[in-house]
Amino acid sequence: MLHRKKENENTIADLPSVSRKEAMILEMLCDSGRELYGLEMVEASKGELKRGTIYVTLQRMTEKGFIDSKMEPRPAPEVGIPRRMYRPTAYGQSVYAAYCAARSALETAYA
Amino acid sequence: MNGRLSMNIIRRIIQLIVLLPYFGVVILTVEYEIPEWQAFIVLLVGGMIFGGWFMTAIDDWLEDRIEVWVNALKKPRPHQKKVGNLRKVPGTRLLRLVDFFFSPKDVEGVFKPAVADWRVEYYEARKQKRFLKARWINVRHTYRFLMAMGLSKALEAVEKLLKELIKAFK
Repeated sequence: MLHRKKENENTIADLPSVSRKEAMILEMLCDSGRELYGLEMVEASKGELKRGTIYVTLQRMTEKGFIDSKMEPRPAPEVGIPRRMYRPTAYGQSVYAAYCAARSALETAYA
Repeated sequence: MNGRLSMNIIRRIIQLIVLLPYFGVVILTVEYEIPEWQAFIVLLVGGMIFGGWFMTAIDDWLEDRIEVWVNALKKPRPHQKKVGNLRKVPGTRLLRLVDFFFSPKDVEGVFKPAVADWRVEYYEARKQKRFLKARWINVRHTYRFLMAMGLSKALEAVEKLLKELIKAFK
């Protein structure tokens, strides 16, 4: 018999996926308690995150709803492209908390 | 044709001449069927990277030299004044390139933040009078920018194509 999916039934495909780099970025943003630039995250990662790929990852996380960004306000005489500052959304924080809980459960199970 | 336009054309021709040895190496390796693929790819990629660095490194120096040569050929004009040592802001040309190839969403979300951080590092180094470091920052960020544009995938495709060509000729 075919199983019809109920309205409130979640499948594995509906759950958010978090890669290792995304988890690292969420960890930095949640632990720091302030907004960060891309370059700050690259330097804080000690080589784990690369300058060439971090912005692609940040864009993907923004599309997933994990983080949000805004342009840095610049004082009046300064011109040029303003830098982008990133912060975690409430959804991103809950996803990160779930990721940490899952990781510690796995570590306990395989310890 | 004004002086600025002729200077740019001369600069481009010299940059092309600098790259010719690397193109020559590519043609020779394909013609003589160098068996060591790894060495060939390293030579090609290394040559492109070195060529890019070389052009970036000598860009301003070359522009100054060409300006001197072109001005020496012209008659002196007393009313002309030297404007100053103006230089392009880092990442300007690459932003124009990605603006052509990529969507506005990708440009705003990926490339502009990268360029903004690049410029902050560059001007910080120049403020500290570390001009060589500033040039190295340009080279490093240009390379990373090109990788973010998908150049690594393009290089993989070129390698695959050349392997197929060599197999066909053998």
